[in-house]
Amino acid sequence: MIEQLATVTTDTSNGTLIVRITGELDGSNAKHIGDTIIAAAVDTRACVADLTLVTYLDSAALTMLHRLAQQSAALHLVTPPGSRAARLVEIGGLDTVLRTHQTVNDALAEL
Amino acid sequence: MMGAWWRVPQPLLSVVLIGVSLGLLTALLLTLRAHRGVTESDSVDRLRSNDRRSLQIAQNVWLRDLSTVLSRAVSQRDVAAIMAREGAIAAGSTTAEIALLGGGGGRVEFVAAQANDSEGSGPPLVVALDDRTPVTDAIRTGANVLVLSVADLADRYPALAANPTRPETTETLETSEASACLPLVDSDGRIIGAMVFGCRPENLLDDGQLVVFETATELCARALDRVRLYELEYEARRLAENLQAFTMVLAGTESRTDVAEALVNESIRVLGADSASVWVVVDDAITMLVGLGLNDQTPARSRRETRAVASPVSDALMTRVMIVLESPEELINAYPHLRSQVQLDGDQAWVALPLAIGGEASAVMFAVFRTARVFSAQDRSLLSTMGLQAALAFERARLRENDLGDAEKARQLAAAIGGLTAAATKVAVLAAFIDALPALGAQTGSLALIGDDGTTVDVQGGNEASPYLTSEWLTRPISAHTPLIAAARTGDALFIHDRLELAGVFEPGTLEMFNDSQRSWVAVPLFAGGRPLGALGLSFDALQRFDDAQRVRLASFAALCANALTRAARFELEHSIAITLQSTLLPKRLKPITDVELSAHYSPGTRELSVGGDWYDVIELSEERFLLVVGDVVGHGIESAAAMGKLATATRALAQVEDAPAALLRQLDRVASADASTQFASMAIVLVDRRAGELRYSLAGHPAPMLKLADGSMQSLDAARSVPLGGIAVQRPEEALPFYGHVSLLLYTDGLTERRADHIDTRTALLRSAFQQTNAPIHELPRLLIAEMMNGGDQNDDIAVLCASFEPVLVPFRRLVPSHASHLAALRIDLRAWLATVGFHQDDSDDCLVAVCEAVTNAVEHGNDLEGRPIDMRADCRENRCSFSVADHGNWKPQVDSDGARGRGLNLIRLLMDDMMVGETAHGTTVTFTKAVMVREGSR
Repeated sequence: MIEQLATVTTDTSNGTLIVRITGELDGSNAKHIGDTIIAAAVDTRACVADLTLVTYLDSAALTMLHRLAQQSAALHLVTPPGSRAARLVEIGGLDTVLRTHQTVNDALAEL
Repeated sequence: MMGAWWRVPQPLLSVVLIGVSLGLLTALLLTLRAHRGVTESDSVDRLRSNDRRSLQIAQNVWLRDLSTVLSRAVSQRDVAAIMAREGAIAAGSTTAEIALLGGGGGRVEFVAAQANDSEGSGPPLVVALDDRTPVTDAIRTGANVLVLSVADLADRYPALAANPTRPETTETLETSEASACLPLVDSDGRIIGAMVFGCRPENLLDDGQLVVFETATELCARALDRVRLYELEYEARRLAENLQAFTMVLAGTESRTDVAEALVNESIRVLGADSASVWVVVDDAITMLVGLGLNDQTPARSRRETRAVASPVSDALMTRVMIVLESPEELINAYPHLRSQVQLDGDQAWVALPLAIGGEASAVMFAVFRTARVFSAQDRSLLSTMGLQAALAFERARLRENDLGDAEKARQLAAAIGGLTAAATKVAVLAAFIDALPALGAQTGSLALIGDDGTTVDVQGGNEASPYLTSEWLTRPISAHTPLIAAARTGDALFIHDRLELAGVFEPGTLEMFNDSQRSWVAVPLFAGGRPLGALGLSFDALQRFDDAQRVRLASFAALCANALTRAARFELEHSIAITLQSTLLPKRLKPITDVELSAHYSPGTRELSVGGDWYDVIELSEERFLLVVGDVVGHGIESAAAMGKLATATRALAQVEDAPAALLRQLDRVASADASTQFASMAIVLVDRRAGELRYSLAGHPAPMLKLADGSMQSLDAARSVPLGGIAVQRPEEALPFYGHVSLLLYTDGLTERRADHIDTRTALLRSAFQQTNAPIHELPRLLIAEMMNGGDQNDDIAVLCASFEPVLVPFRRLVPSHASHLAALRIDLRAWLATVGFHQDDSDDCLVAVCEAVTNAVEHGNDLEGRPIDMRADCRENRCSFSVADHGNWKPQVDSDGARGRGLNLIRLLMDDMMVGETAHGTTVTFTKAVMVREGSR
C-alpha cells in the first residue's frame, strides 16, 4: 500500500492526453509521477490531469503540477469542488495560472 | 390523502384513537428520529433497480436492516410506524399498513395507516371482522389475499369498489392498483392481524417479491410478539400508578362531593375524558352533584333528569353495570331518542360508571370524550376498580353526612368541607372553617390550638368578609378567661345564647373581643384521639336556640376540623421527615472528579408530600471513567424516599462489580423484583469514559438525557430505551456514543418536564432549548433549569437534575520519523487516526495532515543532520486547539530555492494553519503550528 501510493492511467484522444491519478501524492512519489506524465505528454496537443481521486496532495504535488504546466502543452486540471485537489490548488494559488474544471468532459469541451 | 380502498363507508366505521400514553408516543417519536436509516440508504435505489440479482441482494440487506430497526421498537405503535415507513418504500410497495385484531377478536384495527406519501396523522380505522374486505378475509382465513388490479377488486369486493360516499376511494384505487394482505401470526400460531402492502400489479406475479413481503410480515409478527411484553409491563405500571394515586386522593375525602370531585378529576386525568360528572338521585330525580369540563351552554335542564327517561346514566344507575359507548352509532342504537342531541354535541365516546356496592348504585360517573376512544381491557378494569373504590368512599361519606343532620344542610356543608379535607396546614384548616361559616349560619369564626407545652393557646379568627389569614397566631395563656380558650382548656362545649349569659359567665374584659352585632356564641372543643387539641369559636348575628340538631351538627363539624388538623400535622411532620430522609440519602456534595465539572440539585415538590423518590448520583470508577445516575421511585413520601435510598445504595454497590449500564440495570432488575417498594422505578445510567471518548448508556423507563456538543448542537440519548425496573427477563439495550471536544450532559427526572396542562413533548423541547441556549456555569445550571422550567408555577412533583461537563482525554501523539520521504505515508495513516479522535472535520483533519507532512518534508530535505537522526513529530490537543511540532536535529541547509518548493511548503503551512513559528537553535530546527478544532456536528 505504501509502495503503491498512487496509480496513474493515461489515455490519448484527438491529440489530448488524459491522465487520471488515484491515491496520494507526496514528496515520495510526486517527482516520479511528474516524469511519467511528461514522458507521455510528448507530442500531445493538450493535457488533462484528472485529480478527482487524489486523496492526499501537498506542495510536492503542486510543484509537480507546476513543472508539468511549464513542460507540456496546455495543462488542464480536473478538480471537483470539495475535493482535496480543489482545496490545495486553490490554497496554493495554482488556479490563477492553470485552467481548472469540474469534470473531464468539461475540460475536453473547452479544448 | 390517506384514503385506501379498504376504507368502508363512514357510517359503518367507528374511528378509534388508540390510547397511547405519552411515554409510548415519545418512545415512538424518538425511535423514528433515531432510526430513519434504512430507507434512506442506497439500498432503496438498488431495490428499484431492474437487475434481478442485485435486487435480491438489496432486499436481503433491507430485510436484515429491518430486523435491526424492529428490534429497537418498544411498542406496538413503534412496530407499526416502522413497518409503514420502511415497508412502504423498501419492500417495493407503495403503501404498507398493519391491521390488528382487537376488541375481543370482533374487529380489525388499523394501527398505522400510513402511506409513503403522507405524514399519516389521521385516526386509525376500525373495521368489523365480518366485513368483507381483503384484510378481514386474510385474517379470517389465515391465507394470503392478493388483489391483482382495480378490476379484480371490483369483481371480488363490489361493495368496496363501488362506494360513492367516499370520493378519495376511487383516487386511491388508481394509485394503489394491487395489494397483498398477509396474515400476521404470533409465536403461538394465532392470527393477530395482517400486513397490507399496496404495490404495482407485476410485483404480485413475482414469487421473489411475495417472499420479501412474507419475510417482512414474519419479522413484523415477531416484533409485535416482543413488544407485547413491554406494553403489558408498561400498562401494568400505569394501572398500578393510577390506582395508587386515586386511592391516595380518596383517602383524603370526607364528603360525597369530595369523592365525586376526585372521581371526576381522575377520569379526566387518567382516561383523557373531555368532561366528566357525577350524578345522584335526589327526590326521585337524577341530579348532577359535580361536573367538570362541561360546556357552559349546557342548559340547566340537562343537570336534572327524570328516572323514567332512558339514558346511559339512568341505565347504569339501575343495572349497576358499566356502560361503554365507543361511537355515536352505538349510542344512537341504544338510545334513539338522544340522536339529535348526539349529533348536535359531536361527542364520540361515553362511559357511564356506576358507583355500586351491595344492592344499589348510589351514583353514576359519566365521562364524555370529544374524540374517538377505544377502551382496552386494562382501561375497563381500571374503571371498574375506580368505581368500586369511589363507591366505598361515597358510602362512607354518605353515612357521615347523614350524621350531620338533614340532607340539604349536609350537602351545603359538604361543599365547604371539601376545603377542609384538602387542607394540609393549620392555616388551611382555619380558612376552610371560615368558608363553612355561612353553611353553619355563623358570622365569625375563630380557632384556638393548644401549644406544645400545654400552657399557651394560639388563636386566630376571621369572618367571611375578611378571610385573609396569616401565619401569625396570637398566643395567649391557656388560663385566659374567654369562651374559646375555656372550651379548649376544659374540653366542654359552651353555648352562650345571649349577651346576658355571656356577661354572667365571663369577666368583663372578654367582651372587648366581640362586636355589637353578635347575639349568640358557641365554643366547641376539638379532640384528637381523646386528647384536647383546641377549640372552634363561632358567633351568630341572630339569637340561637342551640337545639339538639344544631349541637350535633356543630360537634360533627368540629370533629371533621379536628381530623383535618391531625392530618395536617401529620402531613407537615411527614413532609419534613421525607425531606430530611431524602436529603440524608442524596449525596451531600458531589465528590469532585478531576477535569470534570459536576453539579446536581434536588427540589422537593411544593405540594404536600410530593417529596421523596427522585435521586441522582455520580460514581467514579477509575480515573477518567465515571457513572452518572438519575432515578425516580414510584410514589412519594417517606416510603419512596427510603426505597430510593435502597436503590441508590444498590447501584453504588453493584457498580463496583458491573459498570456497563445495561448490565447494571439487569442487576438492579433483580433487586427491584424482590422489593415491591423499588419496583417500577425508572433510571437513566450513563457511563462516561473520557479516555475512550465514549458515552455508554441505557434507560429504564426514564426521560432521555440530553447532550450539548462542543459546537452547541444538541443530541438526545434516546436510543437505548426499555421499561422501568423490576421486570422479569427484560431486554436492556445499551448504546455507545463517541464524543468530541467539550460536552455537557443533562440528566433529569420527569418532574422537570411533566406538567398537567402542557404536552410533554412541548416541555421537553422547552428544556432542550433552555439547556442549549444557556451559557451559565455548570454549578448554576441545575437550579437555573428548574427555575426556568417552573417559571413561577407550582412544582407538583419532586425533581432531580444532574449536570456534568467534560472532554475526552487525549493521549498526545508522537512519532520519530526516519529522515526519508518514503515514511510520510505511514505517518499519515497514524496521524489521520489520531486526528479523528480529536474531532476535526474531515477537511480540517486533511489540512493538518498536509501541514505536518510539509514540515516533515522540509526537515527531510533541508535538515542537514549528518548522523541521520529521526525527525521528532508531536501533536497534542488542549481546550479545542491542536498544536503540532516537527523538530529535526540539524540546521536547515542554506536556502536553495530553485523551484520554489520549500517556500511553497512553509507557505502552505501558514495558509492551512492558524499560526506557525520556526525556531532554530544550535541543536536543530523546530516548526510549530496550531489549529482550532471546530468540532464536528453530531456523531451520527
